[in-house]
Amino acid sequence: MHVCNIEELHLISGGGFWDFLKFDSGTSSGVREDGKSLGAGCGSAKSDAFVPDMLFGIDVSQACFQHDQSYSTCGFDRQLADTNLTSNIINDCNAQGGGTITCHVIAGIYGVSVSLFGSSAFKEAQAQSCY
Amino acid sequence: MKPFENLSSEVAHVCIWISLLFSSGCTSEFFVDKGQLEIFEGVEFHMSAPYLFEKKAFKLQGENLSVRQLRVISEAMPSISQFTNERLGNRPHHHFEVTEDARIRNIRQMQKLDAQTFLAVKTLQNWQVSEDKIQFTTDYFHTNKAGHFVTFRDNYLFLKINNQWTFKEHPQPAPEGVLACKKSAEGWMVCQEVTVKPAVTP
Repeated sequence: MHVCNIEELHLISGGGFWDFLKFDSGTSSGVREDGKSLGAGCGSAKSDAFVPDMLFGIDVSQACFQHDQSYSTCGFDRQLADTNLTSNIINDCNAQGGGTITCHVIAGIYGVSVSLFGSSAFKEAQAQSCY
Repeated sequence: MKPFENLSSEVAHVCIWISLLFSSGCTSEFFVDKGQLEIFEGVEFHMSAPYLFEKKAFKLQGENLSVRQLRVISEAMPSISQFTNERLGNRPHHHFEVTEDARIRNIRQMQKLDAQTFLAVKTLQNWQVSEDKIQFTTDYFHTNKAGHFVTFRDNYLFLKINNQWTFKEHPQPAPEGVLACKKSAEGWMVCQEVTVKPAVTP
């Protein structure tokens, strides 16, 4: 009987299982790995290190950054911004090869988070952009 | 066995995140972005409103910039971020009017975007900086009708004239255009210019 080692298992699964375990805030030692400023992805400058930009191996940073910019556009509807975040995560997740359940779980986590905790962030962003 | 070793730290990471998420006292402190002062190589960057997220899109690390060049970018940041915001043209409520400049390529027209489509900025990078000149590229993105992100790159040259940083021209006769994005080995989406190979003639 042939016993598969980790490398062979990786080849068989296409890396999918290990990719599924990937959680990454996109920061390291207090700075963003993409060379941009803290908060240029998921979370604010203070929470960037705790809020994952990659969840279950899916990069959601672009959807988050668009959501942040929607919030900080004067007059933008908050509900529309939150809806766009959810649909963008699902679509981008599918484009990255995520499964239907995985994509909906990720979108659900972020969707619920912004609907529960996004109110003060939205008010602050609107106050900063409407002058 | 590295994945097993990493698993416990990954789980701890998620637990911290979830506990932070559900502690209401922390939410306004942690999730409201009021801007911050960031220091790269000893140079201060005021990441604050107005145009907070245009400023956050500046890629300042990994660009091989000297302290002198970072100082120049820091000085020009308010002008460049305002200019970038005007290129986006997201105005659900017209609280100010932006005068169209015929010298500047219109991203919305080039991408055939209607007024309702939200255009966002992703990254300002590829800096070429001297004391009175800054050249860079800007990556914009929007969600197309199929629900997919489309990333578009254009190039800009700013000059310092009378102590003011202003747009001079597009250094390239055409924008780099729509970028090809794919997942890296680390799992991040990376966008690059589509290089068209010249046809090989027999």
